[in-house]
Formats: sequence, C-alpha cells, structure tokens
Amino acid sequence: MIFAVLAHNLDFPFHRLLSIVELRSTDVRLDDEQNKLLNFIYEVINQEKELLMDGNEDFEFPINDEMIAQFIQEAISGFEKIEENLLTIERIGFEQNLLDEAYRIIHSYKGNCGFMNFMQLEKLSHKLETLFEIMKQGRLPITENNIAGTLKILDVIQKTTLNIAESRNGDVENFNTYDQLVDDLVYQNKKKHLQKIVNPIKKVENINTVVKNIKKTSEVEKEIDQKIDSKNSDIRVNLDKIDEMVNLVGELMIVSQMMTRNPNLGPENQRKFFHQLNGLVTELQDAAMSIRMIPLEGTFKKMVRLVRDLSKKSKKLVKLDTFGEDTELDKTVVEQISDPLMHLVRNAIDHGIETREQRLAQSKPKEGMLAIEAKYEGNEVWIDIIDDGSGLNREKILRKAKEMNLVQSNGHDLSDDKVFNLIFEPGFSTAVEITSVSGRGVGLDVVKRNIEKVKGYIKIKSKPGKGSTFSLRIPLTIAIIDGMLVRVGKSIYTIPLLAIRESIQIEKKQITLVDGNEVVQLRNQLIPVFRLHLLHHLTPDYENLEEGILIFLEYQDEVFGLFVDELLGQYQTIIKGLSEYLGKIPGVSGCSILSNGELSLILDVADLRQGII
Amino acid sequence: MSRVKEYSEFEDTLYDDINEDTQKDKFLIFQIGSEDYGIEIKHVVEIITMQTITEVPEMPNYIKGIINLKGKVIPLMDVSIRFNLDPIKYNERTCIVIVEVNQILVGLIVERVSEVTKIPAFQIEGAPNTGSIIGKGFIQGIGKSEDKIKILLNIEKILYHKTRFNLRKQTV
Repeated sequence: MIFAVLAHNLDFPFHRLLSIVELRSTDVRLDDEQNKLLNFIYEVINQEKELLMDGNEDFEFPINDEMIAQFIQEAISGFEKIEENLLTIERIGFEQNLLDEAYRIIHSYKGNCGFMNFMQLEKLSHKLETLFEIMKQGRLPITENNIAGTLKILDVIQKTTLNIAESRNGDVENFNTYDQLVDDLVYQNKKKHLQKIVNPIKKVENINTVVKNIKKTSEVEKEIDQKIDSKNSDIRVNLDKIDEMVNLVGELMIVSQMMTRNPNLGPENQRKFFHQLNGLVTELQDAAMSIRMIPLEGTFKKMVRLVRDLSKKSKKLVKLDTFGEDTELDKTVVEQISDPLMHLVRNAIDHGIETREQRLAQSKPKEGMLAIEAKYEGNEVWIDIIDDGSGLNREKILRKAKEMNLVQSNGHDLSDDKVFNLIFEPGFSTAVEITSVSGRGVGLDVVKRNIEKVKGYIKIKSKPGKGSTFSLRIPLTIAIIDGMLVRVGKSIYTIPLLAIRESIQIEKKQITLVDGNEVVQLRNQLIPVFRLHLLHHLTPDYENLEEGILIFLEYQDEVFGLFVDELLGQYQTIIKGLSEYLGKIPGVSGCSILSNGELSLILDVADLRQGII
Repeated sequence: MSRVKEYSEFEDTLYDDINEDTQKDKFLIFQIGSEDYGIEIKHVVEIITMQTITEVPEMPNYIKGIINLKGKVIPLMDVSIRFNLDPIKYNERTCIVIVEVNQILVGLIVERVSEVTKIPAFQIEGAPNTGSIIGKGFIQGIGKSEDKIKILLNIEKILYHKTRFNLRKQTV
C-alpha cells in the first residue's frame, strides 16, 4: 500500500527509504525486524510529510481515486478475515493465532488510515487494536457481549471505509457513541474492579449501552452488504489463472507466427496446425471464463454471521455447517444468488427449525442443524440449504393455495413438487405471524425470480418432521449457452437448447382451432402455437404450419410450439448483451456472434411464453 | 509550494495539452444529400464501412439493427431517416461512424465521410430558428469554414431526443 502511494509521487525523496528497505529486507522474516522496518517507514514518511507541510498550511497530501480504491479493497478483505476470526473465536474459544491475525490486520489498517488522513477512522481502529491486544493477552474474556461489541465497532469502521469512495473523508457517523462503546469494552475490566467496590449500578448501565448498540448492528450490516454489492465492478483473480492465460496467449502467438512464416504448408501440416490452434482456442476460452469465476467462500462466510445473529434473535439453537466453499461460479451469478441464499437461510431458521422445547419434545437434539452445501453436478452447481426442522406442511400449503385461488381441486392428486412450488407464488406465506427475522419484505417469489435471472431453478425436498432441503441449481456460467440456430425469413435466431423439448414437422390433421387460436395435438396433448414472425414483424418463407418447423419449448412445465421456417443446427455460443441504447426487446434476451461474425438474437423463452398466454 | 504539488500540477497541464489541443474545435464532416454535417471529433471512436446488419424488432424506423464490431454489439442509426430526409441508399461509399456518448457506442450510418476540419468557435453561429430537425435541438451551431457552411450537430440530442420508444439513458 505504502509503496504504491510512493510510486505515485516519484518526486518524493524516498531514495533514503528505499536504501533502508533494501538493507532491512534481508531480515524481514523475523517479526521484530519487520515491525522495526515498518516503524521506520512510518517515521520517514511522517518526517517527509512535515517537511512538505512546512510553510504551507493547507497542504494536502495528494490522494487520488486509485489509492482510495486500493485502500478500500485492501481494508474490506481484511475486515472479512477479522470477522471470520472473531466468529470462530466465539465458537471455539480463545485462539492466539486468530487474534494475532486480527490484530495485525487492524494495525496495518490503522497505519493506512493515518497515511490517508482519516483521523476518526484512525482513532477508532487504534482503539480496536488495543482491544485486540488485551484480548490477545487474555485480559478480556471472550464473551458474547464482548464479541458482539467488537463486531459492532468493526461494522461501523467497515461502513465508513466503504463510504470513503464518495465522501472522501473518514468521518464516522455518531463517532462519539462508538468511541464510547470501544472504551467501555476496553476498560470494563478495570471498571469492574472499581465498580465492585464503588458503584455496582454503573456496570449494568455499561452493559446496557452495549446491548442497546448491538441491536442496531443488523441495520449497519444491511447497509454494508448493500455497499459491498454496489461496489463490485472489480474482481480479485488468482494470479495462477492469469499466468495460465498469458501462457496460452504465448502459445497462440507461436502458432500464428509459424503459420505466417510458412505460407506454403502442405495439407498435412495445415491440418496439424489447425488442430493445435483449435485446442489452444478452447483452452483459452476456458481460461478466460475461469477468470470470471469466484469461489462461494465469501458468500458462505456471510451466512455464518447471519446464522449467528438469527439464532440469537430467534432464541433457537442453530449449528451451521458449510461444505464446498471452494466451488466456483461466475462472479455476477455469485452476486445474484447471495440475497436468495440469505433469504432461504432466514426462512430455514424462522419457519423450519423449531424452538428448543419443541425439538426436545420430538426427541430431536436441542440444537437445530443447518447445512449449506455447494457442489458441481454436470454443467450445474447445486447449492443445497438443508435443515432438520419441521419440514413443509403439505396440507397447510394447499389450504393457503386454495384461499388464494391458486389451485381448484382439493389438490390430493398434485405431486409434492407441484405443491411445494406453490410457496414461490407472489404473496404466499403460511407463517402465522411475520417476525422481525423474516420481515425483510422479500418473498420467496423474489428468491425464485433472482435464481431464474441467472438461468437457474429451485428444487425442494421435504419430509414432515424431518426437515427440508432447498436446492438451488445454477448453470456454471451464464456467459455461454448451447443454442439451436433457427431461421425465420432472413433472420437467424438462437434458442437455448435447454428449453427445447423437441422439434418436428407436423401434419395438417394435427392442427385444430380453439377460440380462434391455433392448437396442435401432439400425443394426446393440446399445445398452443406461436408464430415468431408475427411478434417480430418478419416475412417468413412459410405461412402454413405444416410447411415449416414447430419447435416445442418448455418453460416451467408449460409447453408451447414456436413456428419457424428452418432449423440450422446446434452450436455453443457466447451470450452478448444487447446494447444498453436499445433497452429491452420483447422476446429477446441478448445476442450471440455467429461463425461469420454476424449477430443472432437469442430468444427469451420465459418472455415468449408470457406473450402467448 | 511543495515539490509534490508542483509535480502534479505539471502533470495536469501535460495531460490537458494532449487532450484538449488535438481535439479542440475539430469536427468530423460527413454528407447526407447535398448538405455537410459536422460532429465533434471527441465523440468519434472509429469509422468503418457498411456491414451486414442484424435487424432488431420493435425499434423505430431509424434504428436499422445491430452489428458486431470486434466482439462489441453496436446499434446502428440511419441519420437520414432520423432527420426525415430522403433515405440514403447503402453502397460502397456508405460509412458507419461509431460514436461514443456517455460510454455507450452507437453507429451512425451516413452517406459519405469527407474530412476532419478545424472550425474555431468564432466561426460558429447559433442555430437558426427554423426547420424540423432544428426544432428538436439536433443542431448545435452553423460552422462557416472557407467554402461551404457546415451544420454542426448535437450528437447527444440526436441519440437521446425523446422518441416513441423509451431509451434508457433518459431515465438514468
């Protein structure tokens, strides 16, 4: 960080610093030496700063956007680590290494704040550092209250840090409250001794302020989540991935040079070269895609905190296990599923897992089990949220569905799948009362919609009394799809292969008119038909259904036929967004580049279905 | 004054030099029909020849479709139709001027591109208050260089002036 700053100001007379760094860097493996070195660097910088400020009252150290961005990024990843460590400590008790790490991170953060001139942040993080220090020395007991208070301080520092990008200063909202809170935490030990003798009431007061403040934590947290979400055009990529890509590009260059230098290749060699080229391009494609992939680790970590807070709030004992944190998904997908995942976890704790008494009455362990598990399954990633709570109540759902006119019959003939899927309908809730935990204003329908945005779907398994599993199934990447090329008149469209059930040329006798709409009879099923050329105002080759091709598309168990002129074949393609300038086009989700460099519109099956029904 | 500050100021002026001086007062001149039009050079990204266009449904008539330019999807606008002129015929002289406004790329289909010329501010007059395309604010001014007057266009207005379909930028 500091070096980056210095590098920005080449004029900075830091040759002296450099020579010291050089001298000392051989010893840096020793912790002591490292600290000495860092102190020295600070000293030199401070001296230089004073030197620069001499005779210039309103001197401002030049700080540019890049430095701030770097500062924020570094800080946030540090905070995540601290939070993780604190939560672990709360669970397993005192652990020197974890506290050491938290201490180190906050120490370097404090230094950076000082350097960037964020006074309040510096002060607060300095106090937090002190807090960690006394924790490290075992002078502060690891209690729920102490951890909660510490997390709160951390939250506010994190929130302020994220705000810096806009506010450009490190001013902490309600600084004094937090300052007091951290002091309370740090000095409570000493005070306790005094209070025992002098004033036992004050102690209670202190703890009360702490508890009161904790209540507000969830709000701060929410804000932080939103901030983080809105600031993520950056991505952290493992250097190995980049190296791999650079290597491949190097290989490609070699092959291309070989080809240009030997223009008269024999057909045998030519084939060899093309073969090589093909392989390289495929590898490069994979490498480029893998750069967009990030592990689910960060998302899962958020859940740890969420479960902790929720179980405190709902007074239910919940043990969370996470598996498969290293499963990777496209970055945009990971961002999209974070909210749905949180919602499902909330749901599981609020509606799924029973209270301690209820559990004991059913001779279940008093601690509810919640597991989040991610794994690769074919071309998809499955994220399962498993609880051992009460499970979904089929009868209750059906009753509610009938109230809402979602089902006509008494529903005994409906499959479990169909019944469980009803809970994703807008406005559906079987909860008797809305608790603060679930009252976030997001229904399960939003969860479903968000998952569908990333082309995924949700499966529910549930056994009464045994628990439920919500399984999010998400395609590995939304950037590439298998598509079927179809032609209508002069236009070529791409249809996602997954949505296609079958494509056939029908006979005239299969067509009937129902209410003036064409319907095709296929194996005793009546299927509505929809002509693409009518929606997009094209001139097709064929007007008669029996002359062209009918593609049967499936969307959420509903089938409809799409009438096109001709099938052109399957291919794998990269999805490109349509220009922002054009806005949303009905029935189109994006476009893809054909092998001749031209573009083809990708059809949005969900959109088409809505247009037809 | 500190050395650091001096340095950064120096850097700033250096940067401005490059940016402003080469682009200031410069216009790309193109023709539609018998008129010369100019757009500020700072908006122009690239000029390419006519491409195969993929039509897009539900668009106003002057949006001809989209093309693929080095992996980017770029919508094309036929300027002659946008201005309610006689539609131009596409031939080998037809050009697509790729412009960037608010980080969005759009291709303008024009009949011919002729030159880049410098028209200093004192040679530019305000837009006369007549005619249909002027009413919409498409014209930024009239440039009087040596031989012929050049209609200087307000590219932002051309892209985003209220139309029957909702361009997203308007609401941002």
